Amino acid sequence: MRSRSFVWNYHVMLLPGILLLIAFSVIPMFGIAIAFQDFQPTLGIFHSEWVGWDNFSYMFSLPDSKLIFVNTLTIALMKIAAGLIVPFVFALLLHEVYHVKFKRTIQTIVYLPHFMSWVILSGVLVNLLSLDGLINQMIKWFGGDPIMFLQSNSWFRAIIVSSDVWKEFGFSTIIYIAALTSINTNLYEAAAIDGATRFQRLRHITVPSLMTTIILLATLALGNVLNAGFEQILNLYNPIVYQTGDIIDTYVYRAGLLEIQYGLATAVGLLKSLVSFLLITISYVLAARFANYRIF
Amino acid sequence: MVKGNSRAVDMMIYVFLAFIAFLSMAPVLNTLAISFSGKIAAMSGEVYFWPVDFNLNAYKSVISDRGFFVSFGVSIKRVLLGGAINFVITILMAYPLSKSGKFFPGRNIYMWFIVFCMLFSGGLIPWYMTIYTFGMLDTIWALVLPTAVPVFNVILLMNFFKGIPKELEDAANIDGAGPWKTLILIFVPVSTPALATVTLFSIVGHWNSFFDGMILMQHKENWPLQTYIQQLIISVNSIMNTTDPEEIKRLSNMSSQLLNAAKVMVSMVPIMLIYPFLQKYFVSGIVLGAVKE
Amino acid sequence: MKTKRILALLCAVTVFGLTACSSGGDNGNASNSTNAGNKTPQQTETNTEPEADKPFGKYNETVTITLGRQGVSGNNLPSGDTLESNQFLKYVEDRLNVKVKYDFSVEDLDAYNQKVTLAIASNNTPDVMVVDEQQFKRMAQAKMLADLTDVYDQYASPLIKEYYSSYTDDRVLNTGRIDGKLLALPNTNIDGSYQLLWIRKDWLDKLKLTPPKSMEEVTAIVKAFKEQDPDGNNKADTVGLLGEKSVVTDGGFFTFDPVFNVNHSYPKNWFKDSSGNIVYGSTTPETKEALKVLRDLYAADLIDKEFLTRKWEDNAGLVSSGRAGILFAPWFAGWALSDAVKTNPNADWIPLAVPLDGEGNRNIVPSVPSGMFLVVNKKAENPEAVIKMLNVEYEGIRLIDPASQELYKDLGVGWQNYPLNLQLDYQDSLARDIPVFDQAIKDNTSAGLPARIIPRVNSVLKNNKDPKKDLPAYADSLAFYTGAAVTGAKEIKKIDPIFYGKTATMLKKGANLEKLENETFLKIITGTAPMDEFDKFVSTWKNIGGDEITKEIADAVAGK
Repeated sequence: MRSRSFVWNYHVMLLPGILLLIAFSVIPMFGIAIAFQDFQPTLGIFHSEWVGWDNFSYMFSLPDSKLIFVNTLTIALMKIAAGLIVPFVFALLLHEVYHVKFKRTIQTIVYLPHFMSWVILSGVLVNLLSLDGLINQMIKWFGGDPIMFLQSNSWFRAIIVSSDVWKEFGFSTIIYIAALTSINTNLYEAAAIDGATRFQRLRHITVPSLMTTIILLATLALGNVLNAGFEQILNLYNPIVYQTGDIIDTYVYRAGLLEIQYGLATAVGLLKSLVSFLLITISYVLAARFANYRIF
Repeated sequence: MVKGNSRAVDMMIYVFLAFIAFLSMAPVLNTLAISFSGKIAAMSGEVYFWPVDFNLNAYKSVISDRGFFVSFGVSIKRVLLGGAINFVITILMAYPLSKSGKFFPGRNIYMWFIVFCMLFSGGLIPWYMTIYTFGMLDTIWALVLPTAVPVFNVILLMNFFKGIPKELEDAANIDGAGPWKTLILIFVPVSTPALATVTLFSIVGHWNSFFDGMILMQHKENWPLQTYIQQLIISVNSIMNTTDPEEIKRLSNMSSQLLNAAKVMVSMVPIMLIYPFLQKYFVSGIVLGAVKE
Repeated sequence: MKTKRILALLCAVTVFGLTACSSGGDNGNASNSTNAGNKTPQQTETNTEPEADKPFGKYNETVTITLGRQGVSGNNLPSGDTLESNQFLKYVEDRLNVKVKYDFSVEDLDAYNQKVTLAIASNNTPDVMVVDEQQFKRMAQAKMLADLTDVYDQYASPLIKEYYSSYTDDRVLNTGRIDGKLLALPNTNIDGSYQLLWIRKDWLDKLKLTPPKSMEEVTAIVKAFKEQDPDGNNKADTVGLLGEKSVVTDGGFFTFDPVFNVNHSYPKNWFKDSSGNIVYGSTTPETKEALKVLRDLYAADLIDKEFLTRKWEDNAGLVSSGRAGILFAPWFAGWALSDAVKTNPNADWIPLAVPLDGEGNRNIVPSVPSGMFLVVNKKAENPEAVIKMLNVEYEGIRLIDPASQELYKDLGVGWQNYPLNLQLDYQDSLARDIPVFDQAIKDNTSAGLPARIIPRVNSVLKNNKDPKKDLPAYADSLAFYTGAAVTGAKEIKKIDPIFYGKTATMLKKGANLEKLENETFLKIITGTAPMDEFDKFVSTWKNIGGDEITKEIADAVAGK
């Protein structure tokens, strides 16, 4: 009896959130129709002419469409790889520190960039990377030639990935550090008695105990392979680096909001949603099967 | 020998970590130094981590910029209102969802529904049209309601709740406490780390977002601070400036780079203020919310 | 998009009214009248009509007009006043009993385009907006616009009509017509807004160089500026020729149009080639040649290495800090360049006409007649009120109504603070003022001239007497007088495009084509792609819509 009234209460608790999701997520989903229409604002989505797959075939006829998918994938995969490895190494190093205050100070500092917005950071980065900026001053000081980082197709992706790593690596160490603290200290003591060197302990105890975590994080990252970082790129790119830096989200933004190509923008966005949904589902299944981890 | 070697390695690790930590702060320190520097030094790249030709002109100009403070106010309002809404919704959703499907039939349907909403969208234009239809353009509600359900935070808190011993809840139930009482009197008080974490996330999220402000706010005075700063950094300082003697005079004493640096610094202040208070919680909050056994 | 910004600038320069109704002081009578409209023949014929039906008639009941527009960045209104609440706005409101309500106003162009796009998409456009051609055509296609044919005829003031009729063949107003209906009031782009070559005279003198005539001489001067330390600070900090990432823009600052034109290349415009075929200027062999020239300049460090990431104010900063000494920009760059005097009183920017080609011509492409369109929503209840607002506004902007002369007197507040930011003027407004200035200098007085030109004449006189002492006067003089005079250089050869505007395919695919073009040009200039990239661009361009557009234009031209 009681449990039935409990369940009723659970539904009530969920109600406000669900209503908000319906209002701001489900209702706008009807707009997907625009991808299959020659959308006319005065007619609305209910009366605009249906054009089938026209918007999609136009999308694939554009040389840009392949480019933006390639760019998105490349940047996202580079970010995922670097975002797994750098915090991992950093956590290992931090784990070697026994001085508690020092450790905490370092942690406090490296977490901080995570909480700054890309709007702010891009302002900072543009200054830093300009010809007169700090980085180029240092390059000149070492006798090198200054580099135009943000307008170079060979540098742009590297800038995007490394600034993302710079912003997030500290924060991402949290999970590794948590996993490290759960390692049974007896293991280390036993190893020390057996005469294992520092490096051997690292190799045979520390790293293996992090393997599950890293595999899990890698699986979960799968859902992000089409998210290359809209806010970051929007605030840092320029037309010359479209070739290497224009991603699906920035393209959709420009096509839909600046160039009034509603159908095209919605079609590209829909394709992205579909692929992302598929990938998340795959990662959910993989995580559940191999790590016995349920994300939700 | 081994010990000496080990100490050397320790030293190297310490130095390296300290260096990395410095790199983490370097851009911010550089911006800070620029914001206090003279125009010519800043423009010719002579400023590293210490102001050159120390002066406060940029900050004086920020203080006299009404638009900046209006937007600052919008952001504060947004954070308070949006943060409060997020807080309530997160708790209310995380609790029932932390029950297993056995206790709460329908739980998995809700869960998939939420995840589906997170991943799929009809695109920006339909989203805008919906908010317009609700009559929310140019109101604070447009900034706080569409983001009212922070799915990631809900999942995090839900996992934290799952880790709370069943016995606590059972004991409360035996004492006659219903779900609401159990949630408010038992679950919320023991979840400080997780709640501090999700609160920090939602505050930072609200404080940092610029895009919805740009799309949904029709008048400058309704822009949140990040939108204001984003527009400031990207927008061409209109040519209008140069037709006006006063403007020419004012601009000539100040490079936009300096001014931007000052505004960037001021806009970071609120985050810097709350960060230390919440920082000590979020390690345990995230860990318990994400890495469960 | 760039064009809009430039247009905003053009507008900016007409703060006090750029032109006399005709040269000389013949219209003192108009400025003595509080209601010039009363004098028009139409008014006398129709004075039995209710007041509200006249071009300047005041409404009995308040009429509300909603408005969405681009704001004025760096607005210089006195503190307390804003775009949405100021004396100019109140002046218009009071004279007509109209209430203006701003649906949105943002300054950044991208942000403004977003607002317009979203307003169109949600079918929620304000009564009035000033939009670009793409947006105008799109709204017309969606049947969102009011037909202004009749209200224009009935309500537009003689002054407004005169502005439009000063353009031959009604070519400006025609850009607002679709299928014979007037669906928008276009702005007017005055003659002479092509680029000039601006150069630091004091640097030339220091290095004992003479003003250049050909492109080769320009190159030699850039090289000298770059390498011989013209500012004598013993630092190699001079950046070379300034650039702009849009590469080619009608009336653009820092763009390379003259380098193309001197090579007989006319990118972004439509022409008939020697055999009568319709060609797109960006795809011709001459354009490839011109790109090669720019590429060589860039490779030799003679073009600012960083021009791709420079914003307008960055380039302006290079000018004012004395790191740039040569650039292409229209006559109105005078305002921006005068700034350099502040950091260095010896800085002396002079305008020269664009370089001569091999045949001794200075090739230029006349501006498109208009690029901005004032559109009225079909749902608006009082479309005529918009026309009337424009009437009143121009009586104010041109200081024809004495009452308007008192608004923000001597503060130099931008005219864009009037509600409708649509720039209108006579086609030859630039040229027709030059004799006025000459005469005023000769007589050393501005007495007897029309009110609206007096501030400019005073500036010219003041600067003539005491050069560069009064910065605003120097700036005015450098733009309106020195700069404007050069636009009329006698070797100018105008290359008239055969087609202006956008066809259906251009509306649909134009953005992607422009992106391809701009990227290709930038890559070739900066050397990140080989010269052959140009041929690839031409064939891709043709395949993804260029051929279609060429055909549409051929049809349009043949249809005329």
